[in-house]
This record gives sequence, C-alpha cells and structure tokens, in this order.
Amino acid sequence: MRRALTASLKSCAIPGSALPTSRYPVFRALLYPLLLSLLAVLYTPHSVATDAGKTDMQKEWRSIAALSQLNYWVGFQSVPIKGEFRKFFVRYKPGDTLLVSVDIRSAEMGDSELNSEIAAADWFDSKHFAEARFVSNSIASINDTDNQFLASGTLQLKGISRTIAVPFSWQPDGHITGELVIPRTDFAIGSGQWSSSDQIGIDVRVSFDVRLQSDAAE
Amino acid sequence: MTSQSTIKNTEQQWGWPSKSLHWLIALLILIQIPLGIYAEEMENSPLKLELFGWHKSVGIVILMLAILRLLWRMAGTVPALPDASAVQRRLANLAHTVLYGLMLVLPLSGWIMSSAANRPVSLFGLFELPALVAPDDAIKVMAKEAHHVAVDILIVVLVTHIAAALYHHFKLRDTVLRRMWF
Repeated sequence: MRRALTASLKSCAIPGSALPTSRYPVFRALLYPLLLSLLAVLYTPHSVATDAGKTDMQKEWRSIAALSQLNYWVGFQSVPIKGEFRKFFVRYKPGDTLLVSVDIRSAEMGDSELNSEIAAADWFDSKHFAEARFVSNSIASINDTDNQFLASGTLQLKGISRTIAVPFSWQPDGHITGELVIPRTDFAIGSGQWSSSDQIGIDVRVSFDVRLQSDAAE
Repeated sequence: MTSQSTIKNTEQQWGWPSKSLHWLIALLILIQIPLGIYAEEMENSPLKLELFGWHKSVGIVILMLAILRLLWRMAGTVPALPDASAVQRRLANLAHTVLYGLMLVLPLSGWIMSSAANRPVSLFGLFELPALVAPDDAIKVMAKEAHHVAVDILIVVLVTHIAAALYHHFKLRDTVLRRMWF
C-alpha cells in the first residue's frame, strides 16, 4: 500500500522536475492534462456558485403566503403523521432580523377530531395562545457558504419563550427551506397525561418551504 | 375426534388449516369486538390510543387470516351441510357468506377510517401499513358508519352462528360442531 502511494505520488510530481523515465510516454504525456482537467471539473461549479449566488440581505423580504408551507411531523405510535400551519408569514429586515409569525389556530392535521384535540388546553391551547412567534437576533452563514444560514433567536410558543437555532437555506431568488426538531414538551405542548412519549412522540420535526419576495422587486 | 385430521377439506371433514383458522379468527373476533367498543366509549387519553393501536393490529391480523382462509376454502372442497330443510341450508349459507364478508369489510372499513382520519395503522408497531385513502373527513364519517353497522350485523350473525352450532351439537346431536374441532 505504502509503495503504491509513493509510486503514485512520484507520478504526480511537478512538471519540469526530474521525472523517472517512463515506459509509457504517451500515458505520461496525457496524465497531467487529465489530472488538471479533473481538478478543474471538480472545482469549477463550486467557484461559479460562490460568484453568482449571493442572497441580497440588504433588502427587505416578505413571504408569499400562497407559495409557502410550514409543516410538522409528530410520531403517532412511532409513525410520523403530518400537520401544517396554513397561516403564517415571514419577514426579513436588514440587520439580521427575521420574523416568523404563525397563526396557531390554523393548525391542520387532516382530521376534524385531531384539529379540535390539538387546539385544546393540553396541546396548543390556541384559544389563549393564538400566535407563535420567532424573532432572530443573529443570522450566521454556515461554513462560509452563501446560502446556508443559522438563525438564532427566540421562539415564543404557548406563552413560553426559548432560544432556538434554525438552520436554513436561502437562495438568491428568495426560496427558503429548512427543518429543525423541536421537543414539544419544551413548550408545554401535550401536557399532563400526554407528556410521556408513549403514544405521541416528543420530538416534532418542523419543515418549511417559503417563497420570499423582496420589497424592492414589487 | 371423528377421524384423523387431513390438510385438505373433504366432503365429511374440515382439514386442519381450515379448523385452525376458524378457531384462531373466532378467538380474535371475541377479543376484538369488546376491545373496539370499550376504546370507542373512552374519553380521549393515551390509553385510548394504545387500545385502538391493539384493535387495529388485531384487525389487520384478522384480515390476513380471513384472506388465507377464503383462499384455502376456494382451493378445495367444502364439507356438505347436514340434512336439513332447504330454508335452513339457505340460512346457513347466507350466515357463512355474511361472516366471511364481514371478516373483510370490518378490517378494511377500519383501515380506511384510520387513513381518512390521518392516523397510522401498524402491525403491533412492527411495521406501518400504507394509508388506503388520503385524510378526508367525509370518507372517515362514511367508513365509521360502515364499521359500526357492520359490527352490529356481526354481533347478530355471530350469536345466531354460535346458537346454531350448539343446537346442532346438543339437540340434533350431529357432527356439525365436532367436525370443526380437532
């Protein structure tokens, strides 16, 4: 193995340096161009993306309701079932201020009994806590990429405020996607007899697919 | 204990697969009906969900066994009904047809009800079964109604079926019940 490595390293030596004579001159002649073009292929798309796709964060952005989705999955006897919030909006203002406001009463789980159950006091208690709100206090780009961010801020849900971090992708055209896991018990959702994970899972996967338009574009 | 059990059904005797399936499904149905009614009457709670989880699993097992049983029945002969009036024979055939039908209709309507209500159906939590329909309140209400009517019919036909079997065994003293036993 080591010998093979040494051999391959030698074959990659800098052009112009003293190369061992090869029995396959044609192969050697082709080797460097091949390697160089391979490197070029590997690195080009990345550098193109870096140049072109920077999200403009100096503009104000707001979500287009009809093109935006906020879904969640919760384990029902370990099988994830889907719910969604039909009414919510996202606003971005320069200075890392991302605001997400969710109308909790718009929670939809595909069944009238489930809908009235989750509105009850043990769950969302949406009569008393109709709005959930996330406000960021910082937005950091992840790994120095242009479209991956981590928003840190406060989520207020069912009257409880907690700091959360929301990873998301934000394309220059205003398309935001991401997902995170929120333990429902952090916000007293599913209290009392429901606080165990026996029937209804604790970790709720939240996913969003939001189309933003910049105010300048209007 | 009339004769040695065969695998296949004969003119006189049920084979052991048919017998086993009959009694296994009978046992499961006797668990299933009270379990379903009890859970249905409960206030919503984790226990209610758990009981319905069991009810759904047992229902799926009944469905699979019933399909097996029907296939096995159709693949071979069926023991002849005992000498009785034409009306009695017709009633017996009707009751058996209804029972087979309900063994399919009840699990399927329950499965549709669960799917339409956006609730999963799994087999004892081992694996999840696919949803038969997309969540839909109207379909759920219809499936629920069908499920309830079907179980009412089942209870009536089941009582008749058991009473008739006991009548044959103790009053007529024929082989109808014995040939279903091992």
